[in-house]
Amino acid sequence: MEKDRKFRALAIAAICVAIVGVSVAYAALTASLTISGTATVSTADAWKIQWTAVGEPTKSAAVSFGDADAGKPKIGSGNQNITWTATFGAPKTNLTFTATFTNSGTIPAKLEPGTYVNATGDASSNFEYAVKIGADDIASKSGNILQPGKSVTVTVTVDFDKTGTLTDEQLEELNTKTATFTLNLPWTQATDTEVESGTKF
Amino acid sequence: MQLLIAVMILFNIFVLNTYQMNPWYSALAWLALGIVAYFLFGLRNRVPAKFVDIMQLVFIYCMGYELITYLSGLILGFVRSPYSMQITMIIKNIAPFLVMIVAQEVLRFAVISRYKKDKWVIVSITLAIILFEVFYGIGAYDLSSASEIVKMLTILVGGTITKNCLCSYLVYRADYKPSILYRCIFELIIYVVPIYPNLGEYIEAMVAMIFPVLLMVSIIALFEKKQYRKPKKNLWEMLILWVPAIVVMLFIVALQTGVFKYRTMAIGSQSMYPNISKGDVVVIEQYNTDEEYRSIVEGEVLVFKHDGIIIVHRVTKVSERDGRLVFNTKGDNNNTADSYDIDQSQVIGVARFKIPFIGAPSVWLSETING
Repeated sequence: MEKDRKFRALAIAAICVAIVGVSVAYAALTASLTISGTATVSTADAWKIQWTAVGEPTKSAAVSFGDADAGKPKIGSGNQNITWTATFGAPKTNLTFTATFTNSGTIPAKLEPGTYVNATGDASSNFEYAVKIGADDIASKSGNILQPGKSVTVTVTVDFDKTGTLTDEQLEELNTKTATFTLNLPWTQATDTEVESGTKF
Repeated sequence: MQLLIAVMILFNIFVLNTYQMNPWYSALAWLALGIVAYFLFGLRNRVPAKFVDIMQLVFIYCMGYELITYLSGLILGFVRSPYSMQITMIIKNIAPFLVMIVAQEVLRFAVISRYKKDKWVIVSITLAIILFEVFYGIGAYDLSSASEIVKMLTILVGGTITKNCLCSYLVYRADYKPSILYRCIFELIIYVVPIYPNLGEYIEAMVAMIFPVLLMVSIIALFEKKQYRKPKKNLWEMLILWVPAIVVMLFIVALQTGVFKYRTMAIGSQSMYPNISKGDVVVIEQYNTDEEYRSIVEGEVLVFKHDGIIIVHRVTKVSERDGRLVFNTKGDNNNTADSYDIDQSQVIGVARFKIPFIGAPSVWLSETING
């Protein structure tokens, strides 16, 4: 038994050294580690920021959401993002919809800056996005605090070739003008100081 | 004793609606229960047999697990913690849960050490705490979708049951300190680290259910350990019996999660019949680079995302537009080609071979749950 205890004590010491070493390494490497967004913590705790509603979209006649409107904006898995897939049949076309996010937990949340809308697919580089709260762009609300129980509604607008700069040849080459979009707002916990002095949604 | 159990069950009903309340309310309620249990039953002061061994095992398992998962983040990637890393905020976040953990374990110890010979009391107190944790945590899940229900059943319910069985066993064998140590390491770490590995729901569910069982088996073995063994013989037996089994299990988990180059997927339709049937599992070689996309030729079975679903169809044409590859596809069993073009960014990979039939239970379960 003594031998086993000594072995375990050595194992504990080795693990502690490894943890310290890994912590130092991670702290030094943070800039180059693959950090993909903020965690959605699903344990029994008080952090819960989520999308709770998506309004019916309005769109130009030449915009389509696919068969049976399968690509309409909808709340994604875990209620952490909104996704939609649309095909834009002509330049200077757009779609608009509203979406509501809520702080359903007990911890005040702060909106972090970032790229809120991402698009993939053919023609994704020809889109312009606007995410607004009222008349203000959401980027100007970065740092604002969302208190527990509060909700905010945003208006999302996607324009294809807004200024009509694409030539007929370029439009023809873009055989399908389809893209899949994801709207994701990054949040972190607001400290007590930030809650006291920060702007609330 | 029966009165205490009844109070705890009533308390759980109170907890059902408290997810959105300040966690201090639950923490203080548990503190009150813990104090009541202390005065009713007292804490038996003794040095349990093998206490140091149990504490060592718990520490090694827990910290070893954290180390391995953080190293796995180099492959799986990390996500940022939403919690503030200021010292005062860490303490503020941790405090109610630390109070809850200590109060629950002291209560558990007070009851179990007093009624050690009555197995039904041990089962009842374990069940009461399980019920509390499940009811308290259920609010974090949106139960309108089948996937969230499965996630809740595996991560929350399954994980809570095995964790509490372990904690009750630790309290039964030693006292409240090993179970407090275990729970503090596992439940409070999310508040003190700025990043953690993106394990994904599948691995998270597996770990939540299996890890407490592994630790419990080790502690049981500690008490049943024979003094004299022939180590060489046992080492070979272990290598022959266990290592291949563990390797196979890890391989299956890696395939399922898509961590490495290859992953598996069950087929849910007959669109590729007879080459690939519903219920077959295909092994997919995942593609991420431009060079890999350019290696895709006509006739290969492409796996791609379209309109939010994953489709497995054969490539009929590869063309290029604006420097990007575009694929046209068709299911072998479909009369017409697919009406949409697939951009290279939608491509997941190429199906390399199939394993017949083994995906049928997953397909059946998915159809039953989703209708």
